[in-house]
Amino acid sequence: MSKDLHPITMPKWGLSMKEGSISKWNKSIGENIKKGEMLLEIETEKVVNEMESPEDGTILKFCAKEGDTVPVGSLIALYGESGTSEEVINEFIEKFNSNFESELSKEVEEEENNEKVKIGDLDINYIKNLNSKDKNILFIHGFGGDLNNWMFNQDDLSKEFNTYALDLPGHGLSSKTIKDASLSFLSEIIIKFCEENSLSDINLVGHSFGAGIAIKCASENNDFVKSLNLISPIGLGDEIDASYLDNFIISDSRRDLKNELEKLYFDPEIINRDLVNEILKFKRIDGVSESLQLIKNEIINNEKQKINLRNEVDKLLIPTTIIWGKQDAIIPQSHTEKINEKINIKIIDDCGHMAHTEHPNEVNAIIRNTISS
Amino acid sequence: MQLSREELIKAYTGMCMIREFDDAVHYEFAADAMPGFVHLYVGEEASAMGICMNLNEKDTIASTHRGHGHCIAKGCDVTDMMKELYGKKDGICGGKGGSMHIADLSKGMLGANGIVGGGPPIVLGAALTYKTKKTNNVSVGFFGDGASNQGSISESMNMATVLKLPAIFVCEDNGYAESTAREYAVGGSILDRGKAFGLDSHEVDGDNFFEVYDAAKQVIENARNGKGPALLHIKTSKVYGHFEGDAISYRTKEENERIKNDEDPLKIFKKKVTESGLLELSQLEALEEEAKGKIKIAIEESKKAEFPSAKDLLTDVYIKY
Amino acid sequence: MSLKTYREAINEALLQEMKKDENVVVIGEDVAGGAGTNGEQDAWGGVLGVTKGLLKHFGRERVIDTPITETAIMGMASGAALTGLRPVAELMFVDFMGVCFDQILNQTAKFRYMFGGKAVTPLTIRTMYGGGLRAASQHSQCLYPMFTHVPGIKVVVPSNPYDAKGLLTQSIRDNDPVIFMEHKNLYDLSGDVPDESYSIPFGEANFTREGKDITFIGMGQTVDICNKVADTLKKEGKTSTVLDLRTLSPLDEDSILEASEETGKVVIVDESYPRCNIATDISALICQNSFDSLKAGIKMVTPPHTPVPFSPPLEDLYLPSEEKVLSAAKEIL
Repeated sequence: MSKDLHPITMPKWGLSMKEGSISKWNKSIGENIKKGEMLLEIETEKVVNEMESPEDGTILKFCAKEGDTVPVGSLIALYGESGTSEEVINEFIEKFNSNFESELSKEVEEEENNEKVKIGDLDINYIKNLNSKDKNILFIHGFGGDLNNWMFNQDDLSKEFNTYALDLPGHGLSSKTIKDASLSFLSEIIIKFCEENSLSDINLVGHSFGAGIAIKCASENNDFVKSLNLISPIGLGDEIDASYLDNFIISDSRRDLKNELEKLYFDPEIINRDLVNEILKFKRIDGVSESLQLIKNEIINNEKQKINLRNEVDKLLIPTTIIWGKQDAIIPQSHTEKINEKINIKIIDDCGHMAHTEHPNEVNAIIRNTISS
Repeated sequence: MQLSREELIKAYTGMCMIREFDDAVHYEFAADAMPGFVHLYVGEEASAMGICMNLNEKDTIASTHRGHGHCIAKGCDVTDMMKELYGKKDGICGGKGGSMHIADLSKGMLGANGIVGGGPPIVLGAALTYKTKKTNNVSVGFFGDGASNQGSISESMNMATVLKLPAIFVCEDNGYAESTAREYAVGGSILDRGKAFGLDSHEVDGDNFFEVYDAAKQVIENARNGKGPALLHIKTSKVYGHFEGDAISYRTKEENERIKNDEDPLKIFKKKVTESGLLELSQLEALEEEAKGKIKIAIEESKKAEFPSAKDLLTDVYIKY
Repeated sequence: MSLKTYREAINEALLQEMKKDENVVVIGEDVAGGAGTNGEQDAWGGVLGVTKGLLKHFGRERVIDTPITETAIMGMASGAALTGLRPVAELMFVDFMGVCFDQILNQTAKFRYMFGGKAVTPLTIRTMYGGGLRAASQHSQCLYPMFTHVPGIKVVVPSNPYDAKGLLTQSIRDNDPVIFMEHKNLYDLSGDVPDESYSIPFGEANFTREGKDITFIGMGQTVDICNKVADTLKKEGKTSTVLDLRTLSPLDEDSILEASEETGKVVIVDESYPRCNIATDISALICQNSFDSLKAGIKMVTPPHTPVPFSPPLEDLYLPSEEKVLSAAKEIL
């Protein structure tokens, strides 16, 4: 097989993704591509997102056209050295496809990787991806989210790290009824979760409210937490769109909820009906509204943020990066002002409150950097 | 007769109120001042009062198209009822029900009913609620001799026995289903039907308040104590026709006279209590005047009251849309 | 979350709501079964076993076997709802509405309006409907249009186990009278259903497929047919939007128009008799509100205007099928 011939395959974004549709190719045959450039736009059941070029090269062939829906892992294009002969290309495709088909037939209905661990009287649902690496990452989602929020991050970062993503109490597939939504209670859950998994240290990646939990964990467990990546964290200023939290809790129709979710993104097109549906399914479960209300009451008082974590952040001695979408409409990016100089700040343009789903490649690179520094 | 003076006064007050209410409606309707159609209870007052005097506010009744008497006996406000008959916004049902659908759930009145035989199945449900929640309430379903031929009545009596429900079935037999005589339309006997379904069944003279009261007292007490359902077959008669505007050509003049003069439950009550010295005639006449006055005010207020507005058309179909 | 059948999902909703609220009672013919016999109690658990097992949790006081007496059942349930219980009455087959419709049409449905907004009637009527079991003309009908015609009652037609549990939970918790219609052919359909209680709001149709070329609108069992046809078309390179109405009263008019405008080509699949049914109603809605968005005439796939036949080949001809829906779609694609 030619060294300079490489496949581009349908990526797997999150565990439930089985197939994807190609909405748009940004390149044409014969065009040069650069590593990190946006190659194409892919639509899954849940989201629309762009896939970037893995290396430099030239597009040699498309194996799937715009509008096609293909299984995860199937060949969608080839790139390599320009001038590679048609014969070599065809041979490559034939070989790839016969391998892929035999792989597919072996893979009998992949079991869901969700696991549960009991912490106190709460069931905590999580997904782990372990590859005997040296370092561990734990992802902590925000208010109203779940571990699927990390679908563009966990698989990618699992190439270099052991990764864990959990559903906070009151969320996802974890226990829905909670009595305590304080940061100290939830950070204890995180630490106990790590103990249950026999982790000797952890790198935390937290989003929004989850980032608040991560800060709390780090400030109270100096040696154990090795680094922090905080995406649009709470606790660094007063302002927050309190109505978003209220409306998120009360919206029980697809239309109402979609209007709210759009506030999370710079590009609201990213939200499709299935994504809204998944969140509605979660929100309909008995106890969820009450738990969300409890969390909201922890975060907000009189339309302002109640929790101040600036002190804790100032005292952090571990590698820490704060990542913020420039157009975040929930918590303003201006909260990065006057932060301790030791802390890395990364502002991402064309990006709202969900940097990790809106600009995953950039965020993943930042996370890698933080952990290795 | 073990009724106190207060109870006797209450009974006569109620009967007068029913009489005055429906007599007034009779004249108002004839004067073309009232919309829709109305069915009057005049002549049957002893039945409603005799039964309902044995009920408390949490007990329930379901009534018929001839329901004004039951509503008043169960404690519905006469002015609110009258406003309803005129289709006014603050009528007892907001003007959306009218004469045949007067209901006041706060008084245990589950609704008059435009469907012949419609009420007794609903009474089963109220009785089931009491049985399930172990309250000692009862529910009473009124129906007429016409309705006795509806399947819903047979089904209800059977179900009440099967589930041993605190349900009382009261057949007010005034001899006519619309223009058709009971003798023509009822095969066998209404009383026997009750017995056949296993109900404690009694025939009662509906012109005599005291007979109704006593019979009701016994079966209602039994039902409260978990002894199951009963049927009272109350023989009565109505002064006016099926509905207002009915010329009653199917009844003879003699019969009409007899109903008015010899079978009037108010007259019979009055005679009994004055002869036995329980109440003075002047007291009773004062109660009659009082009722007359109240109904006069009810009519005046109803005529002045507002009709519902256009937006009321679309409300109250569902609780949550 | 676990895999459950439509039947199990309904049973679980009843069990959970009865545990949660002691005012919830189940009333109907043979809902437990074996009443008055010396044999097995809970012998049937409903004629197709949907209420099986409730008896041992709640006893005969709350799982109430009745005589065969539909008027009294419906009346009793209405009256009980009016006075403080939250009954779930079973009308074994919807075809039997003929012997008890007065209590639904003239009583329950009217209480609130007729009594000036003062009545609260939290009644759920569960009933089985639809063809395919060779049950002939009096046990196979799809009579939801008769209920949607009547203001004051809500009409629910779940198409899958997840919806069945969530919509039944909502029906029981809802304070208005609800007809909850279960298609007999769906009882063994399985799907992911959360173990926790949850309720799906009424009037929220569900998009089960999204596409650009054609829109299918279905309800109850026909949703499954629409999904399968959409999947077939996808292999041929055409993508479809499929809308599951979920509730027929209230009707999610916005989603119907949204789904229709998405492609401009609409096929409505309805198993009820074709005159004045849901398909005709929705067609009128679309034509009245977004006529300009249509790129072709609306197609309706329904049975012919005949009673449901018994003989298997005849019933197969009678019912909407994937083949019929596919060919209707191809006429406008």
